[in-house]
Amino acid sequence: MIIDITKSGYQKGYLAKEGVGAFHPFFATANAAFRKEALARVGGFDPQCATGEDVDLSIRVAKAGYELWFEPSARITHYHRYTMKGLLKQWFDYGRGHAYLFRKQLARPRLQLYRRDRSGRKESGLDIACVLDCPTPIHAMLFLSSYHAMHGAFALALAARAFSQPALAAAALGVGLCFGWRYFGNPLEGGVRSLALAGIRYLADGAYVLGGVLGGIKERVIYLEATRSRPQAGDPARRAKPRPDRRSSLLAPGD
Amino acid sequence: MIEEMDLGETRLRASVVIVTRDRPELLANLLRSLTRQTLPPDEVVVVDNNSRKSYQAVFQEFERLLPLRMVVEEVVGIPFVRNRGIREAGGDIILFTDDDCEADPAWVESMVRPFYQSPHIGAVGGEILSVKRAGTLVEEFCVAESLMRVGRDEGAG
Repeated sequence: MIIDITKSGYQKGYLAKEGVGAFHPFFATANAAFRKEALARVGGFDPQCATGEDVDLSIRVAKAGYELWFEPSARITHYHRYTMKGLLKQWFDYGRGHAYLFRKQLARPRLQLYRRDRSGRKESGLDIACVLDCPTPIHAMLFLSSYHAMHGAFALALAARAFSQPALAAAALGVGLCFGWRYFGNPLEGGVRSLALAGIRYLADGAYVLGGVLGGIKERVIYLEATRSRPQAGDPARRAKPRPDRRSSLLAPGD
Repeated sequence: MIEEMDLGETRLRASVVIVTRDRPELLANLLRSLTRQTLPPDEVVVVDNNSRKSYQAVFQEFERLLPLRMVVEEVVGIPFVRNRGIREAGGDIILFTDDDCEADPAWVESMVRPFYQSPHIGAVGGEILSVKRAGTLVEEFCVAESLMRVGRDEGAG
């Protein structure tokens, strides 16, 4: 049995009560405690949340004037037990739940385009940078990553081919393959196992995007997001390093 | 630390609320970890979300070891069921965890202690460690993915 210690990246103590862009500190319900009085004041969990009810509750408790305190010495161990079907269902629900939450938590309709640094490194400064944020008739939250770039380029290539633009089609195909390479990784480097993980990631992202689009239609919000970086196969020691520089979105699902 | 937090204060009662569905064997693990707490919870409320599997054996095993209460909620849906747990719980502090988790021996104490510092603290969160069994690729993906997902905004603190 391998224990991966995943540090949350929060510091012990009070958390910021204001979110930054679409990012808001929250506690996953796998390990969270609330004053009953605070729960009574905000009315508990929102039953309409497919997922992310913990994010929603943390935000409402903070908005009601309470402080959030992170206590790293209070430790819970979580055992992952998923089947492929369960995984896809879970990620579909993440997409659906996030669309609902964005609609609920963001008051004014805006177009917000986020560019994510795939390496997740803090020094790049682009990880949570909102590169475009302007008022629009409906909410649009776009967290673009190589998953979207790859599909966008392939779609463009197909369209160019349909309109008899072979040069454009070839260029778009090339761009799509580059992003595909970034998404799936180098099979010679990671081996079959890492390629299989990339395949699982691709299916999970598919369910995630589908959930986000369908949830978005219902909530009248355009929501696109996919995973940011490749899960690494093999060397558990490398994986077990805490990564406090990772940031997660307002709506990062708890497990 | 316990003496410090009890100084002249009314003691805060701690209720642990757990939602479960069709996983009695996992729940048993969690309940076992709750029997070994440095600060025993005042109440453990298990909300069974309309399971097909029986929790009878688990309940019988732990009812003597924990202040355990089990209720059944027939409406399926996690937020709704957690609210049922909140309604059933009598404590001043409500601790949530999941049936596929295990608590460190100091968990309840560490979670409750910060609430004594200030009446303005409305929520306390702790660290979540992911364990991968020698399992399938799907499980490996979940652990790797939780590494990416659990990270938070460092500047937030």
